Amino acid sequence: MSAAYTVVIPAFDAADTLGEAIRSVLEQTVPPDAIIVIDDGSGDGTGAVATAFGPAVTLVRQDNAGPGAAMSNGLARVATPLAATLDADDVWLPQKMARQIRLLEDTAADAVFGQVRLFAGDAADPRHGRVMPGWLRTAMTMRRTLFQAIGPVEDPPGRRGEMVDWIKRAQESGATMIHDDEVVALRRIRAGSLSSGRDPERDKGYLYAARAAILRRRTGGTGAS
Amino acid sequence: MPDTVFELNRPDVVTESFDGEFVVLDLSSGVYFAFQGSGNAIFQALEQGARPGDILAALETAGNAHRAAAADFIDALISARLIRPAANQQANAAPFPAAAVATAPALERFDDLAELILADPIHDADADRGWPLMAEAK
Repeated sequence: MSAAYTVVIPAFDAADTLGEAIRSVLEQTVPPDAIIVIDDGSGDGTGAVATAFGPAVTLVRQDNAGPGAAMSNGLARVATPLAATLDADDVWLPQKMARQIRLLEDTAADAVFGQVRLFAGDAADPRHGRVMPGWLRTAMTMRRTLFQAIGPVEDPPGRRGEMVDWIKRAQESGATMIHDDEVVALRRIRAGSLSSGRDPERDKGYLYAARAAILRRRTGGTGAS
Repeated sequence: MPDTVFELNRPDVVTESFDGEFVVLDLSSGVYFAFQGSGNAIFQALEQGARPGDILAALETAGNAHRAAAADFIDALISARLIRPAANQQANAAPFPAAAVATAPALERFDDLAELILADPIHDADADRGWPLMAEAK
């Protein structure tokens, strides 16, 4: 299997952190073939941060549509056999891609995920938090064919839960998705970020993912626990 | 607790109605729930401040065949900690429409998204926890 991979980074108002995210890609022991940053209608200097990396980074701008739409926009442009995704405020550890490519080769899985460690502050001098399962954009590497089979990542109202819905749809389709015990990335804690803390409006996104699962179950026949 | 007014167990529990059907999610466990039959009508009444005793009394008066199932359903909501005694014990005076309970209510529980939902948001505790404590995990 070719180890050629493309990295897709959806970014919204991420000028403060995108540079660290991109550097963590460039520092991989197995380098990427391409890096695509989707600027999701940012109002800050996100695009300028991406273009400062020169030809190593392809910048695509879109009107603000949500992280799932931005991720899908990027994944649709991937020409390599493998695609990996990264949130613009997180960073990869240097061995992340080497390990996940090897896992994809060894297991024939459609996608692999790894653990993430929470951190605060600068990625270069982080204050570390707990390790948690990384069923997340930042910790995922997949075969491009999986995205083609499952289709776009849909943003529910609240703009949370889009990965819950997409991963679940992939699992229900019969895709093999494995989660590795190794810590492969650092996940940034920022108060007020899209994914931080309880927020009744944002948390509605998970309810839409749950509702979609219920409706699929009614038509598909998998049972309650 | 027939005379207690209940409320949604926020912020861990969130709910949304889709075409009249509620989905209730406990973010602390990632487990979500849906209701069968008249469960939606009973849950909505409880959320709007109806007391369990008033709901069950309305069913009793109407000779509704699903009174026992309704009592079990309300107990199940409380046991699952989807609802809790409300801070405001002012009951909704509107009479419960017993005719809304035309079928037995039931609670459906699903844990197939739990692993994914638990991994997704960053919890307040992680942002609030003292960093010196967390540094030992490094």
